[in-house]
Parts: sequence; structure tokens; C-alpha cells
Amino acid sequence: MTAAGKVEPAAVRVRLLGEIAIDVNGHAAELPNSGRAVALLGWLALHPGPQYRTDIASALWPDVPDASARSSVRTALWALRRMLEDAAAGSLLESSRYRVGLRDVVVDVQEFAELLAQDRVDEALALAGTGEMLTGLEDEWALLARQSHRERLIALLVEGSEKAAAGGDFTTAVERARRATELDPLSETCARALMLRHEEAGDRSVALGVYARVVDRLRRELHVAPSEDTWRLAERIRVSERRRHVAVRPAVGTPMTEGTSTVVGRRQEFAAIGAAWRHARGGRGGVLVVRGDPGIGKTHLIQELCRMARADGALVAMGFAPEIGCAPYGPWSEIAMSLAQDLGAAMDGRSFTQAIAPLLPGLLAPTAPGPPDFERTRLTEGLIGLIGFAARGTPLLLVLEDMHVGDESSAAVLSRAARRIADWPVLIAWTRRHRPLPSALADAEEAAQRCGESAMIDLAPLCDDDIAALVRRTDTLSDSAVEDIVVAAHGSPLLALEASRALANTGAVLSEGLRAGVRAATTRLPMPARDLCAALAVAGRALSIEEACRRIGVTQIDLDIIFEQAHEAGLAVLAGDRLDFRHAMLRDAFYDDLPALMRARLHRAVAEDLIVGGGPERADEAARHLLAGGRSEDAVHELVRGAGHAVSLGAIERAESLLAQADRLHPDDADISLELAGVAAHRGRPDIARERFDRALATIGTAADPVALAAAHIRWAEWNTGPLCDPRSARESIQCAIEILDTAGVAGLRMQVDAQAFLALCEGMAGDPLRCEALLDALDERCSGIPAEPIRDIRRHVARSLSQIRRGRFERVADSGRAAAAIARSIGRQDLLYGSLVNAAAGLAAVGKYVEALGILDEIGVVPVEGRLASATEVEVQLSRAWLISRLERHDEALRVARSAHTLAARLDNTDLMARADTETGRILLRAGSFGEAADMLAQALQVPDAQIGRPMARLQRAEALVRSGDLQAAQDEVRAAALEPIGVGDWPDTLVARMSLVRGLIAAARGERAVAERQLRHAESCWRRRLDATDAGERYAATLADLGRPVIGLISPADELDVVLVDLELLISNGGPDAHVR
Amino acid sequence: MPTFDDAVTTSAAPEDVWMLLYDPMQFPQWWSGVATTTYGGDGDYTMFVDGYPDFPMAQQLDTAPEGNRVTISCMVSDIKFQWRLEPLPDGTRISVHVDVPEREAARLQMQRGIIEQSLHRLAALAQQH
Repeated sequence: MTAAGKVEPAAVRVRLLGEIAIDVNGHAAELPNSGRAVALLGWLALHPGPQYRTDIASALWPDVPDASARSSVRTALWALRRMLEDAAAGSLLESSRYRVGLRDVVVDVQEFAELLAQDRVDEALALAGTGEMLTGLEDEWALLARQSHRERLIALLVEGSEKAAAGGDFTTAVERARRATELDPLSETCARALMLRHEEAGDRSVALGVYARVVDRLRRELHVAPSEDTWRLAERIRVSERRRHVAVRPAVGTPMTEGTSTVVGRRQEFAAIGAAWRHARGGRGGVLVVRGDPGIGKTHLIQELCRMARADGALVAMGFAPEIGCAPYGPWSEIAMSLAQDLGAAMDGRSFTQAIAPLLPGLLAPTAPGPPDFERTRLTEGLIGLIGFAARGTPLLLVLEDMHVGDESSAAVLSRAARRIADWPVLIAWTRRHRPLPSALADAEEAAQRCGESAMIDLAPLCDDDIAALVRRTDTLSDSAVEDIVVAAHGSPLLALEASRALANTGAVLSEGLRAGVRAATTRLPMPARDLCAALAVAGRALSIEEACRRIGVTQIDLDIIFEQAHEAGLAVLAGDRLDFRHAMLRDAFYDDLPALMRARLHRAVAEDLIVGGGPERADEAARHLLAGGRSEDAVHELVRGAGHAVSLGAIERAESLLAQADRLHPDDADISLELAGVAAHRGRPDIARERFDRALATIGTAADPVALAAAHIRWAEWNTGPLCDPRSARESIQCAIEILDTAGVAGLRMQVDAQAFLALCEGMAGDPLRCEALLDALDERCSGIPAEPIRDIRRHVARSLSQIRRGRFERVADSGRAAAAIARSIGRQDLLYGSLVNAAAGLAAVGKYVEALGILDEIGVVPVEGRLASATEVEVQLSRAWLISRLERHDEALRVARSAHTLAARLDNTDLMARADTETGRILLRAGSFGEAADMLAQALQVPDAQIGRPMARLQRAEALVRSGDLQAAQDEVRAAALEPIGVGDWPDTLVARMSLVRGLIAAARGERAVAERQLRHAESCWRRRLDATDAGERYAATLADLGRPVIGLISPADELDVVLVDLELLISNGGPDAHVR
Repeated sequence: MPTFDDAVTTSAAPEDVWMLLYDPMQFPQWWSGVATTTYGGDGDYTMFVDGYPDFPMAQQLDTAPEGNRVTISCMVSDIKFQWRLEPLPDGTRISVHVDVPEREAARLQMQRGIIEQSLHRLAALAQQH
């Protein structure tokens, strides 16, 4: 107060940088309790001056009616006014009927802007702190303001960093660039700034470290490769470290001739491939990656490696990624074909043989494809099985060329294989250009670097001496000619050789690059040889002799002569049993020189040849040629065909990409929308699937085609009983399909019967079991007059087993499951075989018939043996077996099975399944009384953050293990952690209360608090009894099936849990003391 | 849609509050106006309000996988209560967000009073555990 008793106005400062806060006379004031009132303070501080109430209402209450929003503004204003008056002893709010604003306050964001306006950048940056603004507030206006402030700050930091570097203050320059990078770790602009600053400071290795981190982050979080600018900067920094310009020395003695090795220079690289091969040959399998720009010598180095391996008697198989439309598993398909020819009949009957049948068209007939994720695992495991088998008697070298244009599925196999070949005499080598780097391939290289023996060879430009030596090997040239070639080659051996060739042909070194040399070579070629080169150039890949003959319309005898001419001109080569350009860059140069009309015509001809002569694996390639030939309408069909093929191989990302392209060309095609919905469903994206499905329905609706509409609903139902796991939606959809067919009077008996069988299945899963039975009885009569259909009959049997379970008729459940499984086995649908038996077993397990359930699962297989193909389903079956065996008190056996499931999951590199196996192992150990080990195992499972293990329950079970092993404090901590875990639908919250009561009772008992212990244990008892009494077992099973969309064996057994509580209670009462440490 | 928020701080541990919040059978002990609850299985239960023993109010207890929230929805009135626990160094903050449908807007003030009273009873009861 002043001497006159007048209140001095308080100095009030509102902070928006960081969390919203308010300081009065330098002291933090308490904010209103209402979160909306705090948000209002933030909004007003950000918008100086009087603001319309309507603007405030729409910003802070955007989704509520106007009247309610205005009312909420009044309520929040009241709370804010009261707080401000209490804190500052005066009104800081000015308000009228229409407007509201803050007055006489300082806002830190305004201070920040003023400092910048005065060019006081250092002070502004210091004020900005961490750069976060309105922390904790998630309103849209706050998010926008935060983003805008962050972008402004980043720009400021980058600019400030450059200025500091220009002034020679590298420490500040690096610090500012680092702060910018921390604010936006995914910004390549920031990363480049930091790389540059480190380079300028002389820390090139640190700069490359920054590059590696941003590449890794982009790949993991956005699944993209870095931009051209970022990559080029990294390459410049990398090359500047290692490239040394050496003046060309005059030749000494006679020119070099072809020796034992055709590799010039590259001594270190040659040594590296030799070492990699020796390691592999000796049984320490590994990976070799050769990276470099086009024409730098990757293929040449690989040829040396192949020569080395063949000289050791090894099996060598190669696959190539074509530049145009690489089919899923394309390079692996070629490798499998090559190995199949080498191994012959030895492959018959092996576990992997049928799995890889889809990659061996013409050799083996594949079975009907299952769900994409199942097929993906089966193919990958099949290929790894093939590699292991081929390497049993002899070392094996596998080469995949040009993987920068390879497909995602092939790269995924590389990832998995790299981890599995450590003890096999196998070397997997692949080549790639620096760009593009598909994210799946980056994953594979990361996996390779983590496994035992791996070598990454980056081919840099050859030094001038080596280039000179290379050209002197091919011809006798003057020193000045060699100098000219060295200058023209820029370290590229390909360009050096082409320049040398051009010099010999035209008397001049290439001045216009490869194109002029190729043109010079072409002009001397007879027309048929030019046609061959044109066919090879347009194909974008090597052609078989048959393909080449077809495409240029000659016989094989004529082709011999034609090829020789192209070969002598230095354009074509024989690669294995196929014809190709000598190098992809020569192909590109030749292609670029073709007249546009001729190119288009040739592309169309290639497409026709592929459509007529190729299988679905060539559809993607055919589509690319049709598009290049200007036939986009025809390309749509091939894109859809290619997508279907991709789905059948589990290459769901590729399928989505092809369909998206088809959709862009034909936006109103219901079939394409529907297929797109399917791939979204299989990728686990229900919202996108629904949106695409609705789009398909809208398009079909305009065509008034009831059969198409019903078929679409049936597809939707299939996805909901499959990847989307929502049987209730499936039931609605299939009912809709039947109503459409009935209303339209469609006479398609087979379609109607199929739909009825599907409806019976959905009723069994998530509807009325009596209706399910009635439908099945009616179907038995209708189906007797029409041919059998395997999928329909499997659904009928599974539906029957579900209705039997739900009606308590357990004696026939196994028979129905087995009948469905037999049909699934007959059509090679392993996924349906598993599903049929697991479903029956889960039903029996739900009512405590553990022996019978185990008997059914044992029909799938016992503990997996070496050589058997791993799959996620297999792991889940084994975990279910472990749970059942544990219920039968055969704990040692249960542990063996659970651990073998873990081994299988590790082979699949599936961390989620590994954590689930650890959890099951921990639970078995808990039941077996090995409490310390149980606690350790459950702790290990809980370390995997996103694993689907039922975290609250796992924590409470760990707490139980801890208290029973005497570690009360750790048990108490785990109880606390369980209470703070997110809880989802599969966690059965009511059972968690029972578990927590048990653990707290045990803790109380151990502490001698007998009354508390008894109260908690009695509460646990009542919870479990309530659960047991609430519904019958069959309906509990059905509820689980409807909620989770899949049969579940394990997790909750209320009767067993009640027994545990009763034993603890008895011990507590009979011992009269804290002796509840026995389960 | 009318909404309101309320919160209280208790010295009880989060697990003490959790036990009361996740178990509908305990609601009559702290939720003002709730006379009895009966269990229906898998998160469904029925609440009977004081003075209306013949008027069952079906409820659904759901949990959100983020933010330790439990949502209790009245299937009769469509009023939705979203409870949230936050651990504090010396206790727990219990907060609740209530959504009242437009047709029930007249009951907003009454609900505000009920929830305020219930929050304090919940906090006090948890302290006794």
C-alpha cells in the first residue's frame, strides 16, 4: 500500500512458454481449478486486446452448440475473474456484453516478439527456453499456436546458427543447430544445418552420425528415405574424407593384360569380399552389401565373388530386381528357381517345398492362399528353410542384384534371413545404388549389421591411377589420351571403359556422356541387332532367349547371329542363360535415344507379350508397360491383377500401392474400392477400410446391382470375421447381404446357401445359438442337392461347434472341429486347419475340459521340431498347449512347451509373441511355485512396452509372485504400477479387482495385519464367485469370442483362481499368522 | 452437450482409489444416491437409485487404453462419467468429467452436486483402506 492507503497495481506477467502460469509481483499465483478457465487465460494472453465472446466460445468449445458454449465462456470467465482478483487485488479482465480481454498484463510471448523486433536474438532465444508453448493444452488453437511458435523458433535457430558459423563461433553455431534439431527431430533442414556446422567445425564423423540418426528416425517413424539434398550432403562429407586426388603417373613397362583377377584397384574391397566368403564358407554365415553409384563396379565385384565361390565348389544362385515392376519376391523367386534346379528331387516332401510353391510357377502347384499375414510368414520361412537345406552339404552364395529397385517383400526376407544364417555356410550378398533406399531395405541392412558376420562395402570413385590402369588394360593408348579419359570418367570404371571404346571407334573421348558412345555403337549395327537392343532397352530387364525371339520375331538360330553383332558392339551380354544390356546405364542411354513413338509402340507390344505369355506375377510389369505405352485404361486391369497376386503372397503393402494407382486411373470403380477396403482391413486399419467399403457401396448403389451389393457385404463380413476381428459387424453385414438377395429375388442358389452358412457362423460367434442351429439344420437339406464348397462347409462345421459349446453340448464339439479341419487340410488351408481345431479346443477349455482340449490341439502338433515352419499361429497354438498342460499340473512339460514357443517366436523375430511366451512362462512358474523365477520372467515380458500381454494382469501376477517370495516392497510397487496401467477390453477389469484384493491380502498377511488380510481375501473370494455365478461357461466363451473376435485359450479361469484364494484364506485362518506364502 | 468437471485430492494411494472405482459393487459406499448395484458380467451391471428399488439403471463400465480412465455410462439416461486417477507424491488426484445429454440438461446442477459429494466420499473412503 502507499502512504495514502491506496493499493498499488500489481505487476502481472502471464507465461505461455512452457505450461501456462501467472506471476504476480514476481511470485507464482495459483491458477483456477477449472482446466477451461486456465485455457481461457492462455487464449486471452495470446490474443491481446478485447476479443469477441463468440470467437472465444468457438475456439475453446468448438464442438458444442452456441448457447452452451457461451454459457461455458461465462462460467470460465467467472472462475478466471475470481482467481485474478484474489491474486492481483484488482480486476485484470475488461469485459462487456460482447467482448472480453486482459489488461495491464505482460505476456512472455509478446516479450519474445519485441526482443526479436529489436534484433536482440540471443535474449529472445534465452527466453524461449525449450521452445514448447502452452505445454499440456491439447485444444486445436493451442496446437496451432505451439506449432507456429516452434517453426518460428527453428527458423531463428537455423539462421542464428549460420550467422554464428560465419563469424567463426562454431560452438554457438553447433549449439543452435542442435536445439533446432531437438525441436523437430524429423526435420531434414535442421539435420542438414547440424551436419554442416559439424563439418565446418572439423567433426566430419559427428556430421555423418547426425545423418545416420536422421535416416534411422525417418525410416522408423515415417517410413521414408532422406531427401536428395540430405543424402548428397552426407555423400559430399563422406567423399571429402576419403577421396584423394592422385596425379596420373605415366605408364611403366608393357600394358597390363587380363590376369587372374579382372578387378583393378579395389584392393580393400577385394580383400573384404574374400574375407566375407571365407567366413561363410567356414560355417559363419553372413551378409555382404555392395553399395555404389551406377557404373562404379558393383556387379564386377560381385562377379569376382561368384568366381571365388564357384572355385570352392559352392552353390551359387542369383536373383535380379528389374527396373520395371519388380513382382513381390521377384529376386527370391529367381533364386528359388535356380536352387530348385540344382537340388532337383531332393526337395520333394520337405517342409519348405509346398510353402515356396507360389514362387516356383511351372514347377509346383501352389495350394489356395490363406490370409496375407499367414502367407507372408509361410513364404519367408519357406525360403529360409530352402536356404538351410541347400547349405547342408555345400557352402552357398546367394546374390540379389539391384535391390534399390527391389520389392518390399524381398527386402523383408533379407531382414529375417540375415538373423538366421549365423551358423550356416551361407553368404547373402546384395547390391544397390545409394538412391533410392526403400525403407524395408534399410531395415534389412540394419538387421545385417546387428547379426554376426556382415560387411558393407561402399564403392567410391576409383582414383585416377586406377582409372588409368584400367584403360591401359584394354588398349595401348598415349599418356595424353589416358589423361583425357581419366578426366572424362570422374572415377567411374564404366565411363572410363566407354570413353576408351569411343576413342577407338570415333577417335574422340566422350564429350556428351554415354549417350553419344551408345549412339556411335548403334549406328554401325544391322537393323535386327538394333531391334534386339531396343527390345532389351524397353524390357528394363534381362530377357530369356525365348522372350527375345518372340519380341523381335526371329528364330533362335537367327538370334545367335543378331546377338553376336550386339555383343561385339559392346551393348549386349549373355548373363547366365539370358540376354541383357552390358550395363543398366547403357540400357538407359539407348532407351533415351529411342524415338518417342517407337518407345510407346514397343511398350505396348511388351505388355501384350506379358499378358499372353506371363502369369499373374508379370501383371505389375505389364501394367507399367501399358502405362508407358499410353494405354492407361488397359493398365487398370493389370494393376488389379497384380494386386491380387500380391495379396496371395502376403505382399499387402505392394497390393495397396497397385490398387491406389488403379483407383487414381478409375476413381469410380467399386471393385477397386472394395479391394482397397480389403487391404486396409488386412493392414489393421478399420477406419480406412470402412471408408473405402462405404465408397464401394455408394458406387454399387448407383448401378443398382443387388448381386454386387450383396457380394460386397459378404466381403465385409469376411474381413470382420478375419483381420478386423468384429463378428458382430460381420453378422450385421451378412444379414444385410441376405436381405438384399431376398428382396431382389435373385435366383443364385449357391450364393444364397453360402451366405446362409456364413450367417450361421456369425450367429454362432456373436448372435443367437438357437438361430445358428436352425440355420444349420435348414442348410443340411439345401446343401444335399448342390456341389460341395470347402469354405462353406468349413463354416458350417465351425458354426456347429460354436452352437454346441454355447448350448452346453460338449460331447460333439471335437467332432465338428475335426470335420472342419479335415476339409481345411484337403485344400491346403493350414490357417483354417489351425482355426477349426483351436476354436473347438478353446470352447472345451472354457468349460474346464482341459484334457479334451489338449487332445484336439495335439492333432495340430506337439512341441515343434527343427525343420518345421514357424508361424504366428503355430506359436499361439503352442502357448495355448502350455496353458492347458499347466492346468493339468504338468508344469515341467508346460514350461518346455512355453519355452519352445518362445524359440519359435524368436525365429519369427516377433517381439510381441516373444513377450507373450515370456508371460505364459512366468504364469506357469507362478502356478508351479517358482515365485522368484516367475517374477523375473514376468518382469522381462513387461519390459516390452507394446506387447499384447495384458499388462495390468501381468503386473498383478508378478506382484503375487513377489509377495509369495517375500519381497513385500517390490510387490507393493507392482500393485501401484498395476493401478496406473491403461486397461483395455481384453483385460477383464472386474477380475483385476479380485487379483488386486488377493495380492493386497497376501501383503497384509505377511505384515501380520490379519484382519486386513482376511477382509481383502474375502473380497477376492466374492469377486471370483460373482464372476462364476454371473453367466454360464458357454456364454462366457461366446462373450470373449464376440469381444476379441478370435478364440482364446487361457488368461482367465475363475474356478481355479477361486481355489487359490480359498487355500490362502484357509492357510491364513488355520495358521493364525502371516503364513500365506504357498500357492 | 452440457458438461462439467470436478476434482479432489486425497492422501490415499492410487490403488486404494482404484479398488473402489473399478468395482461397481462398492459404488453404494461412496456414490451419492446409489442404493445397490447388481453384477451382470463383463463390465455390465445395474444400479438402483435411492428410493427407486423397482427402477433398474443399466450401466456400462468401460476403460480407455490411454490415460488411466474409467468411463461409466448410464444406459438409461446416457449421462457419461469419465473418472481419472493421477498419482501425486503424497496421494492421488481424482478428477471426473461428466457429459450430460441435452435432454437431461435440467439435471446438470443436481448432478454437479451429487458428483461433488461423491468425490469427497470416494476420497475419504479410499483413505480408510
